[in-house]
Amino acid sequence: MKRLGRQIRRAGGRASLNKVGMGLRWAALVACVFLFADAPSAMGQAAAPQTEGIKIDGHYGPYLPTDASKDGYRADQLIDVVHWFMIALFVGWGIFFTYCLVKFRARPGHRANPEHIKAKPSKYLEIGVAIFEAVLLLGWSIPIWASVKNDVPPPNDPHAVRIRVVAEQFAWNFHYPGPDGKFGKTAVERINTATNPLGIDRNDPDGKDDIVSGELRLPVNKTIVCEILSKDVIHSFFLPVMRVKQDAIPGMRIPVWFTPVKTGTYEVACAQLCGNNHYSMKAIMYIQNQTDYDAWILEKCKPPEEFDG
Amino acid sequence: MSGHDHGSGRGGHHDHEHDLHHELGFWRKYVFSIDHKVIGIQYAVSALVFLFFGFCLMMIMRWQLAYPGQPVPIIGRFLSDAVAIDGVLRPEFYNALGAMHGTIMVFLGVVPLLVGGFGNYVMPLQIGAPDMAFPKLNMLSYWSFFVGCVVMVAGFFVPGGAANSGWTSYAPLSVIATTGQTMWLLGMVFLITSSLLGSVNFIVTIIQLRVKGLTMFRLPFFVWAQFVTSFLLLLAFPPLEAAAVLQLMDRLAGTSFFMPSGLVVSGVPQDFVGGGNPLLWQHLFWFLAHPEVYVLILPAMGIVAEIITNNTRRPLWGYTTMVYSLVFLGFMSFIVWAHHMFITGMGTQISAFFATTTMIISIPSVIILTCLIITLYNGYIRFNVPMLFALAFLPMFAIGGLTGLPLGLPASDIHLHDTYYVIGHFHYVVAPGTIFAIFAGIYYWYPKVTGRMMNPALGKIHFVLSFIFINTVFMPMFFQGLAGESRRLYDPTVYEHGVQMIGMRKMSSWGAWMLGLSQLPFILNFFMSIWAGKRVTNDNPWEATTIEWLAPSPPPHGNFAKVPTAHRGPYEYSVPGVKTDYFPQFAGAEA
Amino acid sequence: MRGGRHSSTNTRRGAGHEKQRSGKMKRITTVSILAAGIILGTLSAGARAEDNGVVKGKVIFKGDAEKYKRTTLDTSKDANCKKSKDKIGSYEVILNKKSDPITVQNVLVSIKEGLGDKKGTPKTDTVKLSQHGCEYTPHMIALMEGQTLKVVNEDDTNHNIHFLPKKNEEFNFSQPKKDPDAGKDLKLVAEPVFKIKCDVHPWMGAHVAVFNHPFFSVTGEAGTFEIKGLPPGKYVVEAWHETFGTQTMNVEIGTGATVEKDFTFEPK
Repeated sequence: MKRLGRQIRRAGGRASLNKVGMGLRWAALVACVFLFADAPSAMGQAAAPQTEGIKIDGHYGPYLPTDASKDGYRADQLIDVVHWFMIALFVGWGIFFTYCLVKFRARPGHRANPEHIKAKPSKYLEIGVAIFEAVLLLGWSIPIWASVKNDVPPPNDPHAVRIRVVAEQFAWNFHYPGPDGKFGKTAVERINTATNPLGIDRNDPDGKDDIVSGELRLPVNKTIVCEILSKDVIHSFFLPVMRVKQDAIPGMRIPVWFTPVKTGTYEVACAQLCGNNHYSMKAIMYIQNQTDYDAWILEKCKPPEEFDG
Repeated sequence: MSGHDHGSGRGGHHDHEHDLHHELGFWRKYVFSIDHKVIGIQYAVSALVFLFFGFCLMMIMRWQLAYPGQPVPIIGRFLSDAVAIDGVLRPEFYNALGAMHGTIMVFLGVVPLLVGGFGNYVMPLQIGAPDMAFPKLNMLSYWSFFVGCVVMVAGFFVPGGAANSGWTSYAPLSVIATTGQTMWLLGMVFLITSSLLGSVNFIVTIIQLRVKGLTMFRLPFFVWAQFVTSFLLLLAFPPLEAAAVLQLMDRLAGTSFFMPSGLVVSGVPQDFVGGGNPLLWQHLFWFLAHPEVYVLILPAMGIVAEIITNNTRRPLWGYTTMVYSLVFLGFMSFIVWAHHMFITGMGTQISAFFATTTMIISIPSVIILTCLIITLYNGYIRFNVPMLFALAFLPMFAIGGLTGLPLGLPASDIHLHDTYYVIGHFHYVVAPGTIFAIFAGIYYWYPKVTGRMMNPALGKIHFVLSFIFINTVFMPMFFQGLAGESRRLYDPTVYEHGVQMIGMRKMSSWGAWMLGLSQLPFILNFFMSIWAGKRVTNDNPWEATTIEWLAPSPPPHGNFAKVPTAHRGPYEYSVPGVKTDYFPQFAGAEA
Repeated sequence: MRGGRHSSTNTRRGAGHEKQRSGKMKRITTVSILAAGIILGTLSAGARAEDNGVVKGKVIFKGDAEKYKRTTLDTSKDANCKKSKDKIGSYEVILNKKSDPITVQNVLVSIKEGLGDKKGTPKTDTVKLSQHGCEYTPHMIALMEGQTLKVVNEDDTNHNIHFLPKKNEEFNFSQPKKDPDAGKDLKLVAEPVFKIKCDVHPWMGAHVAVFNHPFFSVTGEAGTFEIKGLPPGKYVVEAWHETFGTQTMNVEIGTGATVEKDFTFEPK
């Protein structure tokens, strides 16, 4: 150790690089080989364990996933515009930065020039950035958010499909009002984890035809309103392909809306740490045509059949 | 550390040489010292140990992300059944690793190092002071921090393991969590107290103990950064300390500050009074935690500014603008916190307010970054090891800052909230951002603390490897986030987009392990140079202009043989008419 | 060691032949003492197996069976559950409707009082708890401290069994793949009935009871229980059902006797 220390100290430059540096460079090379050799071979290997056999539609790659909704393009547009802006700024800074590093590097015969630089371009840059950010806010973000929050179909809209999404550790319960369009009353005392996870009063006429499902089935081309609730801790209702995300906060009932325009099978994810099995809190969303969806509703709204064992 | 030998009165103070005050025993000299330099080293060494520990926690986690369901190699067999089954990490342990990694890196690593370490050691020297205004308070602040660290780490050994509800500790999950969460909350109380004690000390010292001629606008940028940072700590931490006590009460005393009525966990109605609101915790937490992230970056900017101006041989471009930007940034940091909460059900008005303040706060950051880059223009750029890290800070911080934009706009945040995009964003700011600044500061001030230089060859190797691998770890995360991959997922392959991103995760994991190995040259260098590093021939090896370089290397107790005076600004480099290309603040009036 | 059986053997062979006392007497006394000793020794070494009794019976349901119909559970959260079992039923009340009278399944019958320090013959076989079709089988798991509980995943999906005991440490673990042969072995300490659930499939649930004696039985499809190997004595027998609650009855087991006594649950 001492010898190595002395060697490095004495060398301080080229020689030490040859001894220590060489070894480390080889290590780096080997590491890079591992890194990049492994990556492509591992792309898209194991299928998701819980839904082996269920084919998920859509494209999921390094950029935004498939957009299966009518209005998702707005947020996508904003993401695109912001990223172009970011790249432009970074490249601009980067070019100037690299130029300075090269042109003004310490070398014999060169000196620093202490003269104060006016640098008007930088002032214009700051103002330009501020203006562009204002444009992002006023042209995209604020109007889109206003639409997301305010364009929820009113309660008496007959064309909207209303569902309550009740999150719990570690599953999604999709509560449909059934053909009568009215949600039955729920109570904590009536909760039975196996037969009545939401505690719906089945004697109540409104609650007789309510459906509680572990999968989310929706008709295409209809506006869907999901009221997000939670039984225990904070979860988050995330539909990547619909560009929907809303925290499920116990004690609150928060609406989100979207309009699916593509039929298919997609995933519902939980996007807020909710405990040990947060990672497996997934549900499948089936966007179906109206006929199939209606048939499913009619079948599920019947009281559960007797189990003969 | 060799610093202590000189610090106990051997060199320096002729007038104090026979002072009884200096005949301190081992414990008062090296352990319970009130000298800001000893305390600074204590903070720095403790923090570096915790940075390493926190990094190790993450390296374990990354195995599960790259190879889900497979036993962890090498250490897997040593993991008890409570944390891993046959070497395969359990989800609760994975979550604990995540929560503790975040907490330890921020509260036990970066902040104590930047403020307690660098701030404590360098700031009094830079203002020409013999010590902090309240040396005993300084010591108390360190020991409070130490107790907090012990309590935090003790969480790993209680039944149920360490806290695993995220470093954000959201209720109600954190209230129903296992005992480790209580240790986390108690630990936070001690850590926050330590920061509060420290921040008071910093503010008073900077205001009161500046030497003659050192007006506020002649202060080194590093001191300004510490000054604003201390205000952030002082004003933002109390709500979190209060909130931590409230959450402790919810857990232990049956209160319901954050627990709404009617909770049902695993089919069992919970026995809480109810009527509380989980969002209250979020507001109280983020009211601190947002200024906290500026606590993480401001001192780092200060370090980078010092090193860039020193190695460009030019004054900082736009010093005054930078100082005003710093103050404005500090002020704005208090009114952006709810941009972490856009997805909680926020309406149009509040979200517009916070989105606007978030956009506004990007302006001073852009100004500071631009000023630092312009400083390079027309300079004489020396590429020594501190400068390499300081230069790398600039594009890395740029990436981190820029990727905050889609997150700060609510509409784009819908898709990106709580995904890997967020992890990529803040790590770019803290990891190749702040931590590179920390490395720069260590290589830069090492000769002042120890009287020896760190080996530059090892330093350059450390830099190149760290730079490559740190980008390997964090760049893929933006793509994972855009693809929809959520954070804090024990096994992302449950989701289709998670399956597609496995290549990215492997790249991040291997990058992380290689990054860990890349720190070996640094660790070797750090320790070896204490005994075998090249001794400095003078007290100002970097030919810098700020006052700390006047003191001996290392400075004795009391710092300066004669109280210095500041004759000019902090960055008088390449002044026309001066023979050398630097004109120190403390040098006399003649050229 | 009670009852009148051996009292006759304890009778000393007293005799009136004085002349033979010294020689013959001595031999007879020795033999009788030895015999007594052997018999006493055998008896004190433990109750004889033939002496142990049995308590058995049915758990009868009285009332409106229609109120307690089983319903099909919704397993739509995880489509892989259907791969193993197309349908699974609710389990809070399972009545054996085909029997007459109607009996109740999954009732835990055990000796509550009267055992003193009698431990009985410990059970040593492994008890298998299977996750199949996204339900637990058996639904009422009773075992003895010292027995191994083997938890097995027989489904093509991830299960995360979560034990919620009061005395044992709460714990859970994942079993991501089907491993019908391997499984995970657990050892539990004695504890009254507690719940288990699955963290992945919220409808799954079952109960576990761990005893420090082997005198328990769970009613099955016949609705009958049988507790063997009970030493003679007075006992309080308890029947526990997760919906109908607890009932007790007193029994007295004679030597080698079989006592047949039924429980009746009559919910309002």
